[in-house]
Amino acid sequence: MQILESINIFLAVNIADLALTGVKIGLIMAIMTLGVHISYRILDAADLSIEGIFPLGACVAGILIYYNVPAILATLIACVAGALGGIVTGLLHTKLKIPMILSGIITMTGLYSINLALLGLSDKNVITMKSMTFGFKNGLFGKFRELIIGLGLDNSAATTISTLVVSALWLGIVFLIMYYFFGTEVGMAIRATGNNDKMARAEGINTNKMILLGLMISNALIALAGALFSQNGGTSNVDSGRGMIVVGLAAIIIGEAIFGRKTYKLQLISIITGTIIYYLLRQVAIELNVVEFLDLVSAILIVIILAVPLIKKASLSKKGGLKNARN
Amino acid sequence: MLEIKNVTKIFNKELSADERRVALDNVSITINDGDFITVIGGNGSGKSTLMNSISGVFPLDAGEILIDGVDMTHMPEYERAKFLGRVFQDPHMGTCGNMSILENLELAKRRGKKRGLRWGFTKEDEEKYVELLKGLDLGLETRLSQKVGLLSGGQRQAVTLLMATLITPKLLLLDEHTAALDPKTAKTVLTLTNEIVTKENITTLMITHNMNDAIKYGNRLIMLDHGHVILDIAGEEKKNLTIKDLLKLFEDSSVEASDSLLLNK
Repeated sequence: MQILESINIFLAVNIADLALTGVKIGLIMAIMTLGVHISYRILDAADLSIEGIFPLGACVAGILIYYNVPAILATLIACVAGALGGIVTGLLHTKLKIPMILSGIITMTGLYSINLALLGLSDKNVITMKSMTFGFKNGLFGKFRELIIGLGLDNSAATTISTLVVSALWLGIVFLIMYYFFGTEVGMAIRATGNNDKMARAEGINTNKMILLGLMISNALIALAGALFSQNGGTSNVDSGRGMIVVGLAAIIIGEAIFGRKTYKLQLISIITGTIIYYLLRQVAIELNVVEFLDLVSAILIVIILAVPLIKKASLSKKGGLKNARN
Repeated sequence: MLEIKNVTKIFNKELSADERRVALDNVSITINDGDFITVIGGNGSGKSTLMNSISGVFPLDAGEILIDGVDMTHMPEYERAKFLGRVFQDPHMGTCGNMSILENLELAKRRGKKRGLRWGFTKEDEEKYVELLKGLDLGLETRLSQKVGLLSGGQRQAVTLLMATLITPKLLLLDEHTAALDPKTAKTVLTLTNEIVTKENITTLMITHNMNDAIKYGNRLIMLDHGHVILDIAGEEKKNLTIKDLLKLFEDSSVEASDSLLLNK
């Protein structure tokens, strides 16, 4: 009965609206996924600080906009803050030799306090709400809406268009920069570091420096996504990064399942598409009132997809089990 | 010229005296420009430790290493790379499997140089690489954009060799680079190595497990045992060396030749 009811509700809502919301958030989050891709795929480093960096971007941008700093400047400063966060994780890992996963967790944990303190700089009560509202109209999307509303659009259409255009613009810029950068001499050195660090050093690459640089770029992008996400809602939330690592990985895996990893350009496109598909699915889950299960489903999906190559190998080798398949 | 002066390397230094392992014990070797040295010795003789000491994988416990008079004892591994070309035993080690042949070669082209925000590929480079790959005679010249991970072990070692010598290094370090290959491929890669080294007159240090190869190649032979140099011969003396002599030396050094050495004679 409950299922039937859910389906009825689902059909009742405007599907176009649902898709639009999915695409809007997907475009912003694709920037975050591109950042995850740099640490997870290019550097082969599981950087868990994402869950602190994403809200860091949101909080830095939010508090600056709250104090009337131009939204574009606030967004760029949020990127810099993200890069600094990446430096912290990178230094913990390369200089203090703390394992990557732990380094990320340490940064993430510390950032929670910093993010709260940042929001606390406003006159609002942030301790109970863990968030601070600065208003949609003051953010990048709001400012752009002001520009186009004069064209005779109604408010809601202008909001949608402004969100789509501005986030697509940022995503486009990030795409082009990433495509170019990882084909440059430095970019290739970062890729080599992630692929085979011993070889990279033998080729004269300062691998520690490359890890640091890679993490800076990765976290700058994640903070940028956080800053844009907060401006889309007009609110900065300390908890907005929760579950981000799983979202990022799921989006990367969905995209790769569709497009493969043949060329780098295709890989970047697959990540963007994967993220949008993920957020479309998320919207469906919200409508079906089962969104609380989505993280669990994503987590299981990642396990299955990561396990498939291992299981394939294991069934191929006659003797060894999972243990041997790893080698 | 590379000078290895009184180099000592001890593993497990923090443990008690009988648990420590002295991998290199006060070793001094002078490598002259143009030398092609083969290094031989049983397991645990210090061959690989010697290689890693030169390339800076770990800090030394004593001694110093100079290249053309420049002290590189405390230089990090990536900085020494500007003097050294390296090929490892494991074919996976010397290349990036996820990157194409072209990308790997472009990486090697910048060894020891500053890497900037320039686009990493040029048409001229590509043409040059096609010519070099043709020289390998492995059909790789048409597979420039393929990932190195798709190549066989022998092909990967050949590409690594090309990368290590793309910018002529002051010293080429070959760490049993054919040991993981089947005999036929090993022979091909060794012949190729000899060709490149002699043609470009590259100063080379080649570790090998194979006595035949140690005798056949190079102008100088060094034998290590328990962290000591027990034989260092060159020129005519080396030319006249036989496997019998080498085996005798192993016996005289009161250490049994390792199984792999005997098997490879």
